[in-house]
Amino acid sequence: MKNLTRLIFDSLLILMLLGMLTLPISSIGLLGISNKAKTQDTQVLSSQDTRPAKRILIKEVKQTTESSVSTPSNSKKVNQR
Amino acid sequence: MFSKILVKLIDQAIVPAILLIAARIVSVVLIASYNKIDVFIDAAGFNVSNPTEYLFVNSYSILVMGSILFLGIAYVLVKSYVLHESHITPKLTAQMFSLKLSSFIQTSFDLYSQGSIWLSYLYLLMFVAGLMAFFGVVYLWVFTTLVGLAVIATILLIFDVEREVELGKKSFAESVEEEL
Repeated sequence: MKNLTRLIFDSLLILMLLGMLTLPISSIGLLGISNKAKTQDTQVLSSQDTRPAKRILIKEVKQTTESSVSTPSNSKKVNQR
Repeated sequence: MFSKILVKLIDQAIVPAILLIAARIVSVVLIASYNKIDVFIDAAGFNVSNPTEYLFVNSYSILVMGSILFLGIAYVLVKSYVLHESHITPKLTAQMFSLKLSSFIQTSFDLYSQGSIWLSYLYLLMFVAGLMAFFGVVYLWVFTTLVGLAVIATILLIFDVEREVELGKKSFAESVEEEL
């Protein structure tokens, strides 16, 4: 029992020592690059989008303006009600 | 005995830990202000605006941390070479007592526990700097400088340990001869 207690105590001390050793070194992570710069970068990247832009054919536009727009099939039912 | 060594090591690790954190914060602020680099402070810590500035500030800050660690090790080495209890000269002992600086005369246990802690910090910093240099967030010359400092400090500490072991062997041989 005494040995077990000593073992637990020693392992806790080792953990504490490792924590003490790593804590100041992890202070290197205090310095970073601000989010503003990251957002600006993504904006620049989005403007370089190489995907082809969607095109609407002039014929389709004319059809929608000149020809009558097809009425939905349930419109009569709505009028009847 | 094992827990006594661990408690001693934890005790010796407090001062360099505080010094290192303070050195990191102060060096980041001073390097940034000296080079007119904008540093923003938020919940995550200090932030700079672009990766080039980050590389510059981070590299020099790590160099400052390494230099402070080397100064600490140099202090321990001076104590272990000159003010070591096992081989301090009688004249210097008298001078230290007359100046009321007898606390500077330390045992091997105190000196080597201090030296091992400072050296561990230097090796950890060197390892982290190596990783950062590999990923291009620290200049490579900072890493090589830290390697050089760590090697010099290790060699000097080993020389003192060797001398201590030789002194121990001599005193043991003398005591055996006296018994015979």
